[in-house]
Amino acid sequence: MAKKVQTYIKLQIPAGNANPAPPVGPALGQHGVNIMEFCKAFNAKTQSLGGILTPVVITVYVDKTFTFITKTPPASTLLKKAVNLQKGSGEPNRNKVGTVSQKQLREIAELKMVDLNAATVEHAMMMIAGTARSMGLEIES
Amino acid sequence: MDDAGRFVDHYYEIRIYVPDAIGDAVGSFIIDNFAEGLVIDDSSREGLVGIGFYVPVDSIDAVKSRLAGLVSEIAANFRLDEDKIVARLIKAEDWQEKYRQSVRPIRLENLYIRPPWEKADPACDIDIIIEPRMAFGTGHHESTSLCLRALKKYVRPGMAFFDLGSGSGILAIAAARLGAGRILGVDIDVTAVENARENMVLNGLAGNVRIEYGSVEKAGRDGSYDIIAANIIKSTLIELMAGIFEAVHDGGIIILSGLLVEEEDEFMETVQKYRYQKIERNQDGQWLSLVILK
Repeated sequence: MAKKVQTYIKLQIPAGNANPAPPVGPALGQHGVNIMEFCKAFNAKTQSLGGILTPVVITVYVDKTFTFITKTPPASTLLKKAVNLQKGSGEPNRNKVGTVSQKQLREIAELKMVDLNAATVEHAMMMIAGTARSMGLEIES
Repeated sequence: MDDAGRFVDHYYEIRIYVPDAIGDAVGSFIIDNFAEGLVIDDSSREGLVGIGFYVPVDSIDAVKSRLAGLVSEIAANFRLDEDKIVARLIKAEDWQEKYRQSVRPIRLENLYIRPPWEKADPACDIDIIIEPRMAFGTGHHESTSLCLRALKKYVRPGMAFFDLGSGSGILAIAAARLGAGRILGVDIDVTAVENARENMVLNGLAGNVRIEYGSVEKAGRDGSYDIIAANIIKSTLIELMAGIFEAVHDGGIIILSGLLVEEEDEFMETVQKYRYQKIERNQDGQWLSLVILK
């Protein structure tokens, strides 16, 4: 029989670098999950990804055991990587910090399709372009 | 954590609710400026996503004001009302205590591993007490039980044992109970060193087992150990492999754990560069452990 689920915990944390400090400690500890065992398993699974911000969905069962799956990095993280940007703009309308090409948008959209709620790659590109603008990136037409 | 790697006592947990469409950008802004990671709540409100993160107590007002500034720029029609940016003070000890209380004893053949408030199991002749804190090794993880089984098989009275990445100290305690003589455990995590020392006291081993802050260099390079265990992860094991082989004399035992089964081929390529007599392979679920006779 399938085990009964207590809750789902969704985090975004650096690959290969989970530790019991926040957010992992409080997010898991309050549900009685073995924090260090999660860190070990997550770090083992993601150690080759170079520390990139990685979404992870943790299923916690009522017996306090857990399983998890990782997803593709957030579009914002992939955008920063694509245009070699340290930080997005804190004032995205006034202060532009870079330009993203249609080709880069398409590459990110194709990578993100598995995790996005988008019917087509073009729709995904529009969503990602929206995120890019909100980070102070201009879109090359 | 603070700069010394110790836990900060209090945090503010901030949760901001914004329209889905700008959630990624807001999360990115938080990662860029305030926090290493996020907690995502996409279940609670129609069309909104909750983004949670933790900041030190003294920075709360500045964080809220900068977030409000960003949101007003990128979502002009959205009002960030007070109920959409909430902060609550949390004490680190609260969630640590909740985790602590959830830890149950575990029996592994004749070994019984228990938190201090549980009674010993008279049916098991080896009793190990672990105070559950923020250090790896409560005995529940497959990589730990693979090591414990290997220690049971290979530790002989009087052997010198080196525990690399000792975490809670569970393997060092088991080795001591199995009769090992000189025992040194090392870890590069201050919290783990403190927890392991605490566990040595709880197990009456403070005089027998040394726990130090450090890594494989603490073992020396003269093969002075009979047996070494390293339950870490693949990348770190590969990094430390030369030192691990130097710490053990010819004919000694190297127990490596924390490997995933899918990493076996790649990992074996590294091991093949070293001189050894025999390798035993043990698996539990997706976790793999190797016992190398040098």
